[in-house]
Amino acid sequence: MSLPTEPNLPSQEESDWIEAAQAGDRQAFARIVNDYWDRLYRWLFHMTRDRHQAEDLTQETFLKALAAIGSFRPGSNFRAWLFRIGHNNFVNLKRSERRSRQSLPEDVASTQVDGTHAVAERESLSTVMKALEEIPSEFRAALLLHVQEGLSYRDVAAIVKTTEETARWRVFKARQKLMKMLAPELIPPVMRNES
Amino acid sequence: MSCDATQNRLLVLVHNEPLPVDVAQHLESCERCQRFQVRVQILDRELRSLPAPSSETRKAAFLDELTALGPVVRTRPSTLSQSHGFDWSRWAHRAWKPTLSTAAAALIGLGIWSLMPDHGKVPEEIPGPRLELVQKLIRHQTALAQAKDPRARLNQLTELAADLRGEARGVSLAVTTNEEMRTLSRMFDQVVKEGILPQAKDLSRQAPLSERRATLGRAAEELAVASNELATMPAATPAQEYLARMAETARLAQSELYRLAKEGV
Repeated sequence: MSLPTEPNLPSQEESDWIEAAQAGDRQAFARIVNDYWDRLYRWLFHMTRDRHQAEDLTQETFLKALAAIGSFRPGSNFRAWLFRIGHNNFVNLKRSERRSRQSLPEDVASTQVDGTHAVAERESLSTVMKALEEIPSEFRAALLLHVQEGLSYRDVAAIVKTTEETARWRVFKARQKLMKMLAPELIPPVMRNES
Repeated sequence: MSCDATQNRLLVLVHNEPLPVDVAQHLESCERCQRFQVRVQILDRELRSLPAPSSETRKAAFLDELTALGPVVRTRPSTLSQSHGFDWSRWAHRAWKPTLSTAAAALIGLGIWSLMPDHGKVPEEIPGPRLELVQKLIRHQTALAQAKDPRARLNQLTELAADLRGEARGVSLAVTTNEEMRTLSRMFDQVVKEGILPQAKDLSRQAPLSERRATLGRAAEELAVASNELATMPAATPAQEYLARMAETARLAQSELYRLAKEGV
């Protein structure tokens, strides 16, 4: 609903960094890391619910991106390309945890909403974070990519390897589930029991 | 238009997208759906404001690692000049490549070599890339050369094994060829078999039981962590074989350390 729709065009500066990184310039790649670390980490944190895992995944994503930067097609969406690598890492992590029968640690509940937010807003954000935990990860991934990152449904689909229509559906279902948890009084009775 | 249809349409609208006429008409006459529309907008604002714990330290370390100029190890450090006998020829005669692994391998060779009698020739110059591992290896190597007893050496070697485990963990995910993982696997093998185990035996001969158990226990714990982690982590295909080797080396050494801690030599 409240998503920026501007196309995710890279700036000329970013294109220059990417080109330099493709030519082997590590300083240029470091600038890309500096530019993208926070948003990639934040997304992975809300996916893993664990700070250390999110940091590991973020670093691994950049290492893989560095190794594969030569294969990035200039002019295409670098952010979507990078987040796709991050999503692959996240999926691999979940698989390995299933194999070793470990559950994802949950740091979100203990994450402090910092003092820059007003008290009411802090409470509200904490409530949203807890509700977000209840959303299946594939829905959460699509929703956060669309809302936090402002990515189009097409880019979201490319990152999570699905169709554009499925990406749209996941964002819709995620929002719907959150609204049912956060504002059930606004949902028509006929819709409250739908899954 | 019904409330449920209106709300479903609102949930898929993109920011700034104009309201469809039928949705707008419904909203004009339905207070609940108006409130729903506002709440969805607030929800998206909240999602965009969701906090995450700071990652600045990790980010800074990674950027530092990425951009720092690496040390170039041009000559053998003087602290090693009184050491003896590691078969340096296998390092000196290998095909040196200007890679992280090469410099790291050389440093491990130097470090372990410092513990051995009758050393051979040392190469005059080792191509030295940057990167944190190399810096860590230099620190370990220096500390090893200065360590006065098996306990201090064993502690250094255990930390070295932990750093190699961490490096293998990172490299295995991005590795595209066998070479780097093979080198890391060999280094890990050498640190464990030629460093940790002999020092553990020396310690077992010399140290009192309580010290022996504490030091060997710590080393065994690190190897247990290495064994579990390396055996279970996801990795690019070329890396899996080497991770498995490292995990097995760690597992066997861990058993031996526990045995030494319990029974002595």
